[in-house]
Amino acid sequence: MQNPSLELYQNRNQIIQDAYDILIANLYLNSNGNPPKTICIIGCEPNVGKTTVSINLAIALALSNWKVVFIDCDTRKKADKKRLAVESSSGISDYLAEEAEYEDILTETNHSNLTVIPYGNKWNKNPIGLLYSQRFNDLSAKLSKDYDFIVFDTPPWDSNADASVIASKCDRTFVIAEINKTCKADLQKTLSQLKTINANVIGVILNKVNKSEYKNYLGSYNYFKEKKRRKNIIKSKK
Amino acid sequence: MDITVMSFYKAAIKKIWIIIVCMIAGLSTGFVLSRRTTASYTSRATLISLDIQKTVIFGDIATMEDLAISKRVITDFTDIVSSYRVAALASELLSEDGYDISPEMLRAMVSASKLQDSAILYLSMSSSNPDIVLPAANAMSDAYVTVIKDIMGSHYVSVLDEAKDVIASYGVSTSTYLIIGLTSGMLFGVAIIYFMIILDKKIRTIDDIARIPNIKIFLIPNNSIK
Repeated sequence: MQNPSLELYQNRNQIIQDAYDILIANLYLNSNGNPPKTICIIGCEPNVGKTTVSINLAIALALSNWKVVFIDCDTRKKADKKRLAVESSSGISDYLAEEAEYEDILTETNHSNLTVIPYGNKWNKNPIGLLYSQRFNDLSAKLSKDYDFIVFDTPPWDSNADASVIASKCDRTFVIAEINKTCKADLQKTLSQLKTINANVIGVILNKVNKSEYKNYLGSYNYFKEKKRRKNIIKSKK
Repeated sequence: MDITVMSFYKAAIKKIWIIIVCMIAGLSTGFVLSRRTTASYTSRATLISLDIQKTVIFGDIATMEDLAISKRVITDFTDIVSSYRVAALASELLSEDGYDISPEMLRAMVSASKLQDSAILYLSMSSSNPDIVLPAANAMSDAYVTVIKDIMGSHYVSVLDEAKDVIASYGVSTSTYLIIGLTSGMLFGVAIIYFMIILDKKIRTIDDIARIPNIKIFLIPNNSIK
């Protein structure tokens, strides 16, 4: 039985959309025409906006006409605390525990190209074992055939080893840090540990950046605004 | 992560209010200190060494030898100005005019300097009390003249100009206090910011992670951005 459809919030802020487009562009850069299939999103610590960024990245990829599947692999977070709490739906945990089939865990969303695989109902005491299982590899292989991108949302890096297992299996990894929250040392530790497992880290996503910092980073931040302003001035003169 | 000049500059600009507050505090402290500083008052008498007995009383012309002796007297007997004998005599003279100043206090107040290659001696009295320096300078001059006469047996030193005015002076001017306060405040503010950066472990700016080698940085603005 297929899961019910899931309504996902879509960010209408053009500046934020542009920020995700930069992420997508960088997925393709240095890929030599062979873009990555599996993308892992890792947070240095809990509550840095990891799931939000993962979902928004998946939506941005789907809006760019790629078939995308988002997998909630946050194995440690209880179902009632999850952003993608799909009631009574099977998920990756059920599939890995051999209690659901491939077709059963796919949840369609309001975005035509985006499918979600929720964590599911099976609370397992040994998620590492499941992530290393052959069934996980089979799932990845099947998804790679059916979808252009697979986005993995993982548990916080400093909470357990699950994220490192997923990162080592993915083509590309993004590390998320929150400005004014994440410690510099924690970020460096996460990056150095990812290096030791040969994870292919694209870069660090600095989340919740304020306007002034963002403007400093993007030199032409006001480009479109200026254009709009000039149009208004011309109109008013006419 | 190391602090570069540029990252420190950016952080300092963001926390410029700390520097401004410290500068205002330094300026206020400088102003208060300048008001609390007590002035020093000085009065000066000018003495000349010349055998008046010979030139004035007997009407003789001073020879080169007389001038040489005069200079020698000034050179050799300058330190007598601060002797106890001179101070005790000056104290007696002052008590006649109604001033109660001890010889020890007079010795602490007095200083003497001679004009180079001349027979002129300046006798200065300094005190925080402006009322006593002028009579004290004149009394000390008279006492010095008397003591030299006793020693030499002749009027070799006489008063050329009596002390007539009192000059007030401040060790450090108000503007100097204000400049020192302002500069100290600024440096203190910069030091506070420096230590804040050193002790701050959080990522505050892009520069905090920009120096990690071989890592791209992507920014996701917060939802309130427009």
